[in-house]
Amino acid sequence: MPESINLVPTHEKSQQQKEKLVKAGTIVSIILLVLTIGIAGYYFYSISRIKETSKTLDSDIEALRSDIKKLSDIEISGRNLYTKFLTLKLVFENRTSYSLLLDELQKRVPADVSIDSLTSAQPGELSISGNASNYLSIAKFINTLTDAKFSSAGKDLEKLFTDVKLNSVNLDLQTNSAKFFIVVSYNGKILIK
Amino acid sequence: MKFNFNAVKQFFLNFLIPIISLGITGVLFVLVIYPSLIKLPVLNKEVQSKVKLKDQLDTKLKNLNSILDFKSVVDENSSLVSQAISSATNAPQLLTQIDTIAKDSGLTVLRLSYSFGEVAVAVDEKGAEKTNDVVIVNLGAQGTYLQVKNFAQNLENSSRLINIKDFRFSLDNETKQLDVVFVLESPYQFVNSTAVTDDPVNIDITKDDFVTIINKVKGLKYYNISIENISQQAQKAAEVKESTESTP
Repeated sequence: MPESINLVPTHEKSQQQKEKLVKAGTIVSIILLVLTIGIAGYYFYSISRIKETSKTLDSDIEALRSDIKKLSDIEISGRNLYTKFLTLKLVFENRTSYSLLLDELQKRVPADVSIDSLTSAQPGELSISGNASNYLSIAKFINTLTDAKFSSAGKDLEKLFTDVKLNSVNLDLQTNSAKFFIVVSYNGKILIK
Repeated sequence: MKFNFNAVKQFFLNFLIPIISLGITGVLFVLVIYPSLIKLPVLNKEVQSKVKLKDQLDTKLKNLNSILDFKSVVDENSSLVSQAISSATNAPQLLTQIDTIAKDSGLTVLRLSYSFGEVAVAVDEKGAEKTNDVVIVNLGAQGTYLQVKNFAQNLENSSRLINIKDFRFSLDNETKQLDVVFVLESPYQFVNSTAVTDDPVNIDITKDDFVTIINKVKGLKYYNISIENISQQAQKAAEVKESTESTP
């Protein structure tokens, strides 16, 4: 079989390749231009839309501000009320009802025990001194104080008194009674109503 | 001499058009695309913050209009709240209120004095202490256990608010009555808010916690004590004393 012979000279071949490259370059530059025009157009449109939206929002905000300024008196009285409401809320959330404490204590004192002095030495503690007819009455008083099942306890106050420490007991020969001094711990959180 | 159109065509296609295309591409990139890439996120963020502000102002306007619609209720609530937490120290009125409550409870008032102070009531999220201004009142009285208990109860149910900070009593062997000392605190708060257009207004008179607090305050007994009343009472007491002293 005879082989094909390329009779085109070498310098002509390189010239043809050069022409092909130049044509390709022209096409690529045109495609690039078209793409760039497209992207630039897209960004231009997006930014215009955003600026338009921003302008509309500005005028809406100004209109709202103007309406709000007309109600400045209402705003001031609303703010004053809110400030005082917050203070009231804090006060009520931290307010201990000592009347409940005294009431509950009174319920748990046996008939033959009397309280001579009471001091709220520190939050959550009472120092109590008094008289009882005998040592057993003192023991009964102490047990009743911390009795979580005390039948006459006030609502939610069954576990008000958490601990009792008997610091001293003395027999008074003159009155034939037992003097006592106790320190009672109580759960102050229960007294916040 | 024939004009070489092919050469001119080749010049345009192979040289001029690519140069011009690349030139325009470069200009568009530098003047439009690159600045837009930088500007776009900034503009988007700006628009987002404006949308947020607009929503905030919208909500605020609705809140204010709702307050306006219920103005009489808001005014009543403001009055109730101001009765519970005085705007000024008003010490004479406070002492008169405590004296009245003590006497109504059956206690005999022996001494009454006051001073001013601050109490810490809470710690906020940043760890800073919140304090209330208070009038501190020291009350010395005499009575029975029941009267002391009733006094504490009446105090807790009174408006202006008075809190018991500390108390103690001891038996007087001569009178067989309890000598009682109370340390009381009554908060007061001067409010002078200003209208700040862009700041939200948080009050919502229909919210549960607000309604609960207002109902609590409504349940308190208000002692309507004014300087005029106090002066009149003092005058009457002086007149009674005069007539008692002048009677043989």
